[in-house]
Amino acid sequence: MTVKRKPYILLCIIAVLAALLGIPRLFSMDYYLHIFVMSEIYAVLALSLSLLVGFTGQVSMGHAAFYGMGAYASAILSLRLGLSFWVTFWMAGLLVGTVAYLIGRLVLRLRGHVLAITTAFFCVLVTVVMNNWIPVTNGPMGITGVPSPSPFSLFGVHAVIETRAQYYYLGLLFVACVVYFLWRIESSRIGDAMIAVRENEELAKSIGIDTMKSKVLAFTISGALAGLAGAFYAHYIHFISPVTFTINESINILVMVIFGGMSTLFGPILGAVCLTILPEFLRMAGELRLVIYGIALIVFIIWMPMGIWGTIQRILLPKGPEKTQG
Amino acid sequence: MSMLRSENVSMYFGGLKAVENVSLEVREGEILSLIGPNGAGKTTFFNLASGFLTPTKGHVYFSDKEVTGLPPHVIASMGLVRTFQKTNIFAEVSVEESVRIGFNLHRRASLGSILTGGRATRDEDGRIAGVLEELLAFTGLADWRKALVKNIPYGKQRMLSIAIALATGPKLLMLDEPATGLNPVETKELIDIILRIRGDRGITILLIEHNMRLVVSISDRMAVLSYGEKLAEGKPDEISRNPAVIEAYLGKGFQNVSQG
Repeated sequence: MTVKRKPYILLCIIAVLAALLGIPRLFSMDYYLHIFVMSEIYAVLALSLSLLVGFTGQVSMGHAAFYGMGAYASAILSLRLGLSFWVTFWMAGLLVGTVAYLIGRLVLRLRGHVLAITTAFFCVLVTVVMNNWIPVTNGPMGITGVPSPSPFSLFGVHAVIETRAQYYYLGLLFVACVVYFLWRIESSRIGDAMIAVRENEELAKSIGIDTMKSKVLAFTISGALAGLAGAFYAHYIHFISPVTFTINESINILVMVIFGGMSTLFGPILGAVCLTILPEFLRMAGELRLVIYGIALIVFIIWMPMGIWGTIQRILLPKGPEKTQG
Repeated sequence: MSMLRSENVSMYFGGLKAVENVSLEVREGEILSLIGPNGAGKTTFFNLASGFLTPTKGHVYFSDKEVTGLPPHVIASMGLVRTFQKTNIFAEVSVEESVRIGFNLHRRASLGSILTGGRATRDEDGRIAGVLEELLAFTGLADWRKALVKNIPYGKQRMLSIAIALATGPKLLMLDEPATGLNPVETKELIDIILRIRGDRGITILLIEHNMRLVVSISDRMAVLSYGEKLAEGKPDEISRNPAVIEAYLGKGFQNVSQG
């Protein structure tokens, strides 16, 4: 069965890759390309959150806080210290990862709704700091003039990241790296321990899994990746302000994860791309745009509780693990 | 040599004395059953030994190291693994994956090796796959490997709990009412498995069980708890003749009946 399907899957992968690489040629308008770059950023955000929500079963409504911290960290470092994006990008990830670790140690003792609400408050708190710590963040006015990545030469290839198409390719590389990273983590002993935490914490503890460690690790990785996405965003838009990183954004990312399908790698990507494109597509509906968007979400979630990817999987693989043997 | 030893362990929940001054020793290689009427404190004793509760008073030693108040995952990593009275499973994953999670304790591949898919990880995965296969066959779950745990029959779920516990490679396995809800055929299979866990794998077993036929047929020794206190300890035939035990189970005035 699987042997027969393999070349077919390989063909699909090649087709998707070609389509992804060809997008800037097909949609050369800046407006379209912008939507695709934003889809990439949201894909990273949704993927990173799915490690926490889908794999480890801990609901966080504070993801935008880490996203925002990454954006501010990278913007401030590059403007104040004159460091290149290629340095501040990683510094932002490291910094936000550290913050996520510390916050995780504090809040992951909580569970379920209480954890969701606490992380939501954390997100509000971070927005308040962005608005009021004027000497550093410039308050509600935001930070302007965040530079593009500096040109670089690698293996004799000289590259500039200036146009939207170039950002698109850089973003594609970013998403690919994140997918690979999460794929390796999720299929390893670390991912096994996270699944155990999600499924049954008591049983996980009884077989020697340090559940707190798993949760904190998921929270840290998730936060660090959101921080990297934030850094990418800041140097792409060149302007950041607190309104981008509110609790609404946290919920938006969470909806992408649920909409796409939680505990897979493709689900969150699909959710991110759909929910970035859909609101733009609905612009033609004018005032009814948000109403239609809301109804569409409700309908999808009622009809596809496993998310889009979960539903596709069920249709494509009728003999999947859903059915029992024997 | 003692595998597990408790010294005057007590657990109070407010004014309730769930376990009071229990001193018990599980010897290496034996099957010791803990019996007693409902509410006697058997499961509380399990929780105290496995770290899910910290005793109000007293000490617990595992392989002569004090484990009183250590977190459950640390005690489990030392080799004391317990199952639960209620069915405790990883519902949404496959049987195979469930048991693989049980091996987590023994997987040490570094982050670098995991990310690169390096040799250490591949070797480890291969080794685990082999042991996993053997364990699925041992517990009779091989035919169910791909099924989601929530979809397999109740008896198989109970067996899976034992398979997961065995995957951790315990020195002492503590089974909390493993035969509850099993039909006679499954109970026979369970007895067989428990005897082989001890016989083939040399794992010491502490067992809570209400099914007296099962208990008497496999135990080397038995201990009786009643109202949180230890009433008696000894060989199965001694226990079944002990007047205090009969009183605890049946009430006063039944001694003559059972002796007759």
